[in-house]
Amino acid sequence: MNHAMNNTICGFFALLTLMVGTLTATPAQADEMSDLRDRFMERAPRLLQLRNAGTLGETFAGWVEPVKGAPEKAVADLVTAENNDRKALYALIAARQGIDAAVVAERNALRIFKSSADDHLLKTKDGTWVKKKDATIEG
Amino acid sequence: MGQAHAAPRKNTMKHLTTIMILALPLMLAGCKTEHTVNTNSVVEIKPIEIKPIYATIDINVKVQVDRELDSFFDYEETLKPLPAKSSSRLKDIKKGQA
Repeated sequence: MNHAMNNTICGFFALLTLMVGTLTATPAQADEMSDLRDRFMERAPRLLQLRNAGTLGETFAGWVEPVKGAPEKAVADLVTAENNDRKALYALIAARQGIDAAVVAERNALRIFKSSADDHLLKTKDGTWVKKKDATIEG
Repeated sequence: MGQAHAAPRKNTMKHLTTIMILALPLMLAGCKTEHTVNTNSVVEIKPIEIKPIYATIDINVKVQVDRELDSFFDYEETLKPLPAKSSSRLKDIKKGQA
């Protein structure tokens, strides 16, 4: 009898915690997502230019990366900002879905790979840069 | 008597020298070796296959994550129209998977 009651009380508190957590976390997450989206949108045209030029490529793990050596400072800063925001986005979606952020990162990489132009450079699992037109993408 | 023997020997030597001189170009031609190696090779370049590592995750989770990402990055469609080649290729890939 006591055991059943304890379970009910524990269940009630667990539910309460979940509800409070959801109510308090959602607006904050929405704000964060909105801020992230604005920053992504701001960088997108420049990133596309650099991807078109072959300066930057997309990796299989979901990050943007310079293709050849160290780029100039402005490009390096852009890459760092983009990847920091991607990291935050992956963590937010992963927390919501209850999965590893690496899974979200990989799904995003596949999404980018599929929407890339034929000459865009993609980095495969084994670290090789290939043009989209030389790759077949599954998933 | 000795001179009578010497004359035919001289003639023989002359013949031999002539034969040697005539045969020399033939011998040289015979020594020449020529090697021809045909190197017609066909290298077939197969497209590199890109597959997800986390292929075992629940299909519903995958769909939900994809949907969230698509919704988040929906502005990209307005930024860059997909090249015709690329989009038809994607259709081919999707057809292949089906």
